[in-house]
Amino acid sequence: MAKGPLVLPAFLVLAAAAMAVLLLVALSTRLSPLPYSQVQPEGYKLRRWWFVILSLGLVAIFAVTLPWFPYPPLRAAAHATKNGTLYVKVIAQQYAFTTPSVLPLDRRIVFEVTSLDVNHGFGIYDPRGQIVAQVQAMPDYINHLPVTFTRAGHYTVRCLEYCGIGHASMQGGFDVR
Amino acid sequence: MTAARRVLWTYLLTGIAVFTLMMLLGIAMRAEQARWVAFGPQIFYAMLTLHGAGMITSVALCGMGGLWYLMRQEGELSAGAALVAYALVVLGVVAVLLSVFPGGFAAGWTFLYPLPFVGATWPSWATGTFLIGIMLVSLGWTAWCFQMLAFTLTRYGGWAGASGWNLVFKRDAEPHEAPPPQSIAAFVVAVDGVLTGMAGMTIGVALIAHWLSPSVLVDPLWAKNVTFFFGHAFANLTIYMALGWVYVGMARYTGREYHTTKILAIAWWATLVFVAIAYFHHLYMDFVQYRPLQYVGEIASYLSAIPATAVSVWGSMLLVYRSRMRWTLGSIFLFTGLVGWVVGGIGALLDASIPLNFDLHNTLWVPAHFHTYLLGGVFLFALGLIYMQLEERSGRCSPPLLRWIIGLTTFGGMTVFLLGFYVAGANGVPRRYAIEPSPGPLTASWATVGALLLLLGLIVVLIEAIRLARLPAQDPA
Amino acid sequence: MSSSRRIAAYLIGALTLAAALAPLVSNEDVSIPEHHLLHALLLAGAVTTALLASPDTAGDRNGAWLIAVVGSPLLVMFLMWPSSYAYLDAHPMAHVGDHLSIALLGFLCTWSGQRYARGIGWIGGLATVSMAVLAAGGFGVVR
Ligand code: HEM
Ligand SMILES: [Cu+2]
Repeated sequence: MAKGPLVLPAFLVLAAAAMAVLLLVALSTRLSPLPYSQVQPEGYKLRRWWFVILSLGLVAIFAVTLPWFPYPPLRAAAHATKNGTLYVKVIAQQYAFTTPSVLPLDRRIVFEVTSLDVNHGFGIYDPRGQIVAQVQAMPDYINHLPVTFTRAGHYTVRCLEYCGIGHASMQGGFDVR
Repeated sequence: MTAARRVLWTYLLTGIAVFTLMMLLGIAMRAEQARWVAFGPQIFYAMLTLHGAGMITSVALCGMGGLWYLMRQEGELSAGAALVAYALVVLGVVAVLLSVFPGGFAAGWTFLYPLPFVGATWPSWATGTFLIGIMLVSLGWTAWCFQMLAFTLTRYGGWAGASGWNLVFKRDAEPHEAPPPQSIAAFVVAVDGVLTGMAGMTIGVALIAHWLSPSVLVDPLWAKNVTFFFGHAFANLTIYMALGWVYVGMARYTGREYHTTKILAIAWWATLVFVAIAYFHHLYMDFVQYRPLQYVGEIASYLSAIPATAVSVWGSMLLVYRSRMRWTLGSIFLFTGLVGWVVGGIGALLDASIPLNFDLHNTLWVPAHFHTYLLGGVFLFALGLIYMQLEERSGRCSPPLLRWIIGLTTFGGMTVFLLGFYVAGANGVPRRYAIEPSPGPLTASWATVGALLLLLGLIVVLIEAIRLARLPAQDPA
Repeated sequence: MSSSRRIAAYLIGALTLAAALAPLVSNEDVSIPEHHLLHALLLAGAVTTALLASPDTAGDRNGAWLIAVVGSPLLVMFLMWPSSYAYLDAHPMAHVGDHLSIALLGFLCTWSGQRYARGIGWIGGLATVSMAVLAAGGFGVVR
């Protein structure tokens, strides 16, 4: 669920690779110089590969990761009758959240999130302190956030959109069991 | 000094002055998050608001001045028009400053409706002054863009010439020559810039209307879209303005020539589109947003990596590879700016992936990646431009020992500072928290140390720049 | 200026003026977004008129024109103040005044753009029209 901790190693590896390439290019100026007319055609040939690999790679990542997009099905109403989804209203307001205090384990929950004043963010942190889900809480709109909790314990809710002076203290929570 | 240089330095020095002030605010904020000092949320969020608005404007000023100066070398440009734009921006900066100190405005530089008006702890005049300030900045910015647009269109033979269309499709467009890379950059930035300016004015007037008559209501989702379109593109364009002189500088330092190729022109057309539509990634967590726009946002954010790496970075690497590169502070800053741009871009790509964004949205990962390419990218490009000018004027450069001192403090400090954001962000620490949950305060502590080291390095950079500036000019140019 | 262009300028100018006078003959209730869009149409007329009527010179690149180019669309937005629409619907003369000012500013933006450098006028004009269209998306909602 929480992917945050995986992101950092991935980032560091990719960043190190990019830095290594740029460093090598910088260090190459210590070697005997080559005329540009020799460097350029080779570089352009290599670039074609980079272009193809990067384009295909990015599009592939988009396609392959589609199942992990957190959005609810577009026809939510048709979905409502299925498999006992629990609908839970969440109301955000400077500087508190209104949520039930207990929620069920292993059951599909759809949070219906809105705000009474400004934009807030409804961020759910699991008992280990990792973000597992979030959605914006907006005035005049209701955002539907589907979540299934698979770990029991106390979940903390933090505001994830700047909402004024009390933003950092805007917290809530519920128990999952 | 020629009129053109005077314009350049007016922009650059103002940009750097604003930057310096904002950096001090940044360090103060980080120290507060480390719990070394306690200004309290009121002041913290006022500083955050000013830092965001001020920093973006400071690098924009550097970009506008730098690119204007490059265009000035391609043909006739009126210094008066450049100063009109400058005056509007500076008036805007002054208004924003006053609204925050002493006004106390603290709704964030993104001023997301309806936050500026609800639960405000500041007087109403501060809100109005802030909005008017933002309005003036976008007026000045738009005026600058119109000047660039007029210049490139007339200089290179209309839209087909200035965009590189004639070049790509081999249409003979005598008597106009093909635009050099920096002119393509100026053209694309100007087109996108007019779009952002428009959006900025529209949302600005909507908010001012609500400020003056609260019965005027604004759709919050619409406001979010327009605000982020404006903010995202404006911030993004600061990078693309700087690329103009990265091209020129790299070519000068390596003694190689960089021309507009078909690929380069096409890459900039792609950039023109991506800059305008990538902003949807700011609304990933607004599930009510029209769904296809979320996919457009991810794809546009992803694909913007292609022109960036395959053309601008690749082209610069080819210029440098096994060349007779002169490694002076000027060229070092330009090159390390590329590093910051790419590394920040990697952080951005991860964050632009919707499944990951679900865990990273509005955590410190966001300031992590944008500080990497704004501080470690655009700002270094600006230093590169400044040093390039100083070195060319005096015909001298800085001694190796000094280069090492500056390199270690500046880049070392920057790395430590940035890692603090990344580590905390990956662990879910929210952004814009005056008081952070763990491990926020810990990472903020070493980030503050890093930022102080960076400050030290930048002081040396400043002193050395003054030394170079006071050397006699090499030729009477 | 060719005579056909002059005729087109007079024609579209006259049409735009006639459109601006519309509130005198009809005061149907339109929603705020529809009202914004009608203003966009009015602006489109004024912009086209200015393009047709502006002199065929290269432009003098005087920075002062730019102030009009960027300032006019801003002022147009202020004239599209949603909460004033109810009042305007009830006061046809004020409404016509509002329309004339909007059209005049659209004209001014475009004209100044052309005077600054040929080719800038229509960009400024298009930007102004687009802002009015953009406003229809959410500037002024009824709850
Ligand atoms: C020079 C060293 C800098 C330091 C020490 C610094 C520090 C900070 C800190 C502590 C934050 C608040 C992070 C949070 O909790 O959300 C922040 C936010 C920000 N910074 Fe910086 N920063 C620096 C440079 C820059 C530069 C060069 C730019 C842009 C050109 C920049 C633009 C921003 C923006 C746009 C924000 C977001 C403001 C907001 O959330 O409303 N900063 N910075
Ligand atoms: Cu909040």
